[in-house]
Amino acid sequence: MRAGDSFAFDYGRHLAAAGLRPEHYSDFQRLAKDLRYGSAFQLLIAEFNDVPYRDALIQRLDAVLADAGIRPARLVLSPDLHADFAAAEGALRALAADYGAIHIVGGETWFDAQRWEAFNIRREAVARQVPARLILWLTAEPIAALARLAPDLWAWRGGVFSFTTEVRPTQALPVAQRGPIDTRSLAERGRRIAELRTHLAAEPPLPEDLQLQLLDELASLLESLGQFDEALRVRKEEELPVYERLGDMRSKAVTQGQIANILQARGQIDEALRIHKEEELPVYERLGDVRLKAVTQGQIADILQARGQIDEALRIRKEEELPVYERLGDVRSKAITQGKMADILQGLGQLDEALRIRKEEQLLVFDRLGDVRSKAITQGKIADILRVRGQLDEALTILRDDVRPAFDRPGDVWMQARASGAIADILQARGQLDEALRIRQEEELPVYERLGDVREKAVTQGKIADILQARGQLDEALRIRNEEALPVYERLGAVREKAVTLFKIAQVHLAREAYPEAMDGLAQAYAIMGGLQEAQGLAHVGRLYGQVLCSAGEQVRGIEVLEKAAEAFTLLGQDDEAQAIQTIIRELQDGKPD
Amino acid sequence: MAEHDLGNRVLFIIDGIDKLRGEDTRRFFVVDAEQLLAIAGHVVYTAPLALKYEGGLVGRLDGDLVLPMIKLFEKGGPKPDSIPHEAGQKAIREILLLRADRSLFASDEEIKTLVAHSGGHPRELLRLLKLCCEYAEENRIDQATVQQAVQQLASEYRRFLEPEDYAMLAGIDADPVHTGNDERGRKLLYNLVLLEYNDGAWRRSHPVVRTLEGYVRAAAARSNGVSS
Repeated sequence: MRAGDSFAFDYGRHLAAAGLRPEHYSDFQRLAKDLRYGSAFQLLIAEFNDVPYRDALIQRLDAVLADAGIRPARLVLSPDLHADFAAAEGALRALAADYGAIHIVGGETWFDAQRWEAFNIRREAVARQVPARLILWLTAEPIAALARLAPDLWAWRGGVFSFTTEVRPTQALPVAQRGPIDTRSLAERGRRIAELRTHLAAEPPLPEDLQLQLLDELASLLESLGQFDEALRVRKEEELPVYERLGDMRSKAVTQGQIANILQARGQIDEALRIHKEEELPVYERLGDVRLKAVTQGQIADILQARGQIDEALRIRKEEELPVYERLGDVRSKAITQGKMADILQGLGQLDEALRIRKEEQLLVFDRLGDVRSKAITQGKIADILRVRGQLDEALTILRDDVRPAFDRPGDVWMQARASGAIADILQARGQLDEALRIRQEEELPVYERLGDVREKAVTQGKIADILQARGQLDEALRIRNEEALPVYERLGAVREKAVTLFKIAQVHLAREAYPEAMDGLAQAYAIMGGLQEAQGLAHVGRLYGQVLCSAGEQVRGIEVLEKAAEAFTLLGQDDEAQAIQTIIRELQDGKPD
Repeated sequence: MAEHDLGNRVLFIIDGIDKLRGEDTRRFFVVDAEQLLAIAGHVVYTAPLALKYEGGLVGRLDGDLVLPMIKLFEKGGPKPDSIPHEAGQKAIREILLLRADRSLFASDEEIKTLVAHSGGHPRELLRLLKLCCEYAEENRIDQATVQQAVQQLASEYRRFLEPEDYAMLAGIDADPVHTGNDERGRKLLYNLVLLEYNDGAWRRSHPVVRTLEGYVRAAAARSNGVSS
């Protein structure tokens, strides 16, 4: 995210406010918006009654201001340094030469009737000569005095913001808010985080079981906003020790699984796999919890599948997961597992069998259960198979007539955006680039921004860059990948996505014959894919990287990379691709130019 | 004036003199009034409102005018604000739509609510609009956002209002003859809690102040007192 980008600003201000008392969430947002979008000079009045809390607020505001490219300063009014308003005005003028925002503190004892009047008389001059946002921090009484003694200056205020802290009366016990689909906006998530933190810090503490529910919601919210470090800290340092102390091994294992999922999203695959295998599975086995064991095995299969260990992934699905759900009579989980098997088959090019499973196994079950959402997701997958087969019109009809309308209800905006994205994929494949671009920009991006889903936003920006690249707008495509997508993946620790982006950037450099830059990007992308043992990545990145290495005279290393790429394609069941690479290798060894 | 061939005298507009206070004000406008009148030209001075209500200007200068609010409702009617003043409402609405595109509002109701709560004061209208922009998390101003803006502006007035102020405001709103020209009444005028229409001939409390609990209670108490 770039400094000055409005989403980056929204994301930053909501996260900053999430650490405040919930009753201050709204005024913090208003103040941050004024500082960012208001004119260079503003007189903003901030009420406080607790100095350490005021200073914490200033610190948070300064972070938001810095992200928006505004340098903040602080002026402490003191009778020794500022004998009258003229002296204070001089100090403000000096600061405004270097800073865009000035926090004025100490005013509650410094201002008197004379100084208020002097400020009022000089107000236009101050506005002209001090081109900075003035945040006047005052307690309640001086604010009332300002309104009484200098009504003209009061009428001139840019805004009043209240950050007073009071001892609140005992409230009803909070309730954790968790549902299968979280439709809360970025603002709602930020505010809820602030509420949860306040509940969790309450004195006397809440009952432990309630604390654990709230901690779970807090960690999930942080994860949804891409705050992986903090989510991990909550899970590891606040949840796990309590479950351990309580001897609740099942909940402890579930939490470890959640930690593994975060690590997996950040590319720490080996550690995620170890946790699933060594920390979770044995516990569920000991407890005889066959369902959780099956779910965990499914997660292990997901990792193996991504690594190209297709046979083992399929075996787990067939032999470990499916029989459990059958025995439990859980037709829904069984259908979902069958869908994952269809994903594998689709990847192996067995499109007919994948299509059969989708239509004859999954759709029928979801129809019988009246599960409209799962049915629509399955129809989306059917459309994807048709897309791979080149039946673009049919795929588009399904997406437009069946999938998109199924999510057309309040609260399912994320899936609506995903369905729109799938439509854009098809249009892009058909060469309707303008319409695809419009969908990405108008139907997808705003939803992810509203929900604070930084990862999905970056993915969509990458797809926008694909369109621009296809249209020959290489500079803008490159800018988006370098300045919008890459920094987000780096911050999230999403190494796979980072590697894909580096790979695409390298392709642009190659198109421009900027070989050293291309080589550098490919080397980085390949190293990441190698670390992840990601078969798809090793295959696609390796195919290009190997050829570029050979062109640069590094034939031994190049052929080694190409051979690994061929192996990866074979693992994925894409024998034609593997054969094509073997041909390239033979030609290179025979000394034929490419 | 030149365009209409009305003469060649220069028009001076002296802004900012309304910031003068106490003795400075009296000396400038009253004691040295002869010097002001000695300037051979048209001169418009902004003066502190206090000077007008303290009677200091009477007969000194060629005229003393109070710039009234834009009237949104007629003075008469079975109850306050029951007869809209179409021209005033239209003017305030036009100001609003010059600042914010119509598409930003969820419906016409939000525009009506903002116009009504401005009290006919353009700065208050723009303050409410600014608050709406601060509260809105989407590019759309809906009724909930407008209500948040109204509540926030009202809370800014609540900071300096005293219990007696509410009683006076309720009294003025209920009885147009009640002028409230004492010190408290003037203070309310300076702070825009009390708004003047028709060149000061008619006053009403600021509409956002009427949403405050203190005002609601004072109005109810007055109504109960009158009916009993």
